[in-house]
Amino acid sequence: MPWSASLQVGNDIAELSRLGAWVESWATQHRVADETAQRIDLCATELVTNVITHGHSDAPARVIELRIAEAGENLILDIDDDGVAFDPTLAPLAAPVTMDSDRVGGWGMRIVRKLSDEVHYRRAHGRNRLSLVFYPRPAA
Amino acid sequence: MELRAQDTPDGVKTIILTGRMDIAGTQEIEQQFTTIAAGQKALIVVDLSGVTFLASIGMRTLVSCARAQMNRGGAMALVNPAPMVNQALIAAGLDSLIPIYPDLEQASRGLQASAR
Repeated sequence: MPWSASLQVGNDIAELSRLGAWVESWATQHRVADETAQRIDLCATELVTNVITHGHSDAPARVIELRIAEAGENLILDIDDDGVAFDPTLAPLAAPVTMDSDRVGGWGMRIVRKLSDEVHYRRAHGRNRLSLVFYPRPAA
Repeated sequence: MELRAQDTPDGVKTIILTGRMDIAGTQEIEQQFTTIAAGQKALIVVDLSGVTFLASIGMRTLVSCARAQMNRGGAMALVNPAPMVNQALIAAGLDSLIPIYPDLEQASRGLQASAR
């Protein structure tokens, strides 16, 4: 029987500290490979950080819902929020940072695209849903 | 997170970070890290072997300090990241900004060569 787990976090940076414990709990219970669990932990952290820090100030997301589900050999992470419509898959990646510029950051989506295997966005019922698919990868 | 700093006889300062470098962890060490890593001209090695998780917020601190150190005429290197932390550094492209070495000795040699 395929398993799933979910977590609700508020729109608050302090809530990010709950993500690591959530990932660890289902990864241990369902014997998910460390490498896969760590990729999901990092992608979830980056995406929830984006919702919290880049959300529209007039209509911020109130609740962010995460759900992880087994789908055959893969794992699917859904992240839903009720903020204004925003499709991060259409946003261009920030230009690479150089040591000569003053700019830092813009790494979140770059990390998500590299560490997940598929990224899908849809807007439904006034909510953003980002779905990430993680294939099993051979141990390094 | 925890931070320990050591001066080595060859003039390189080693900063040993331990723990989860997410937003909470980064906030815990950021001020002390910035003071040691970027407060004055130095050759800095950041030992990442005890870092179990590195988010972009932590990378921001590393790059800001590496850049400040470079502007002072010093240099910074990262050493011995765990496989997943290394994967995150490469995914973000940080390996092209801050050199990453497999051990302290090679990092120390690399920094001293770049400072000549």
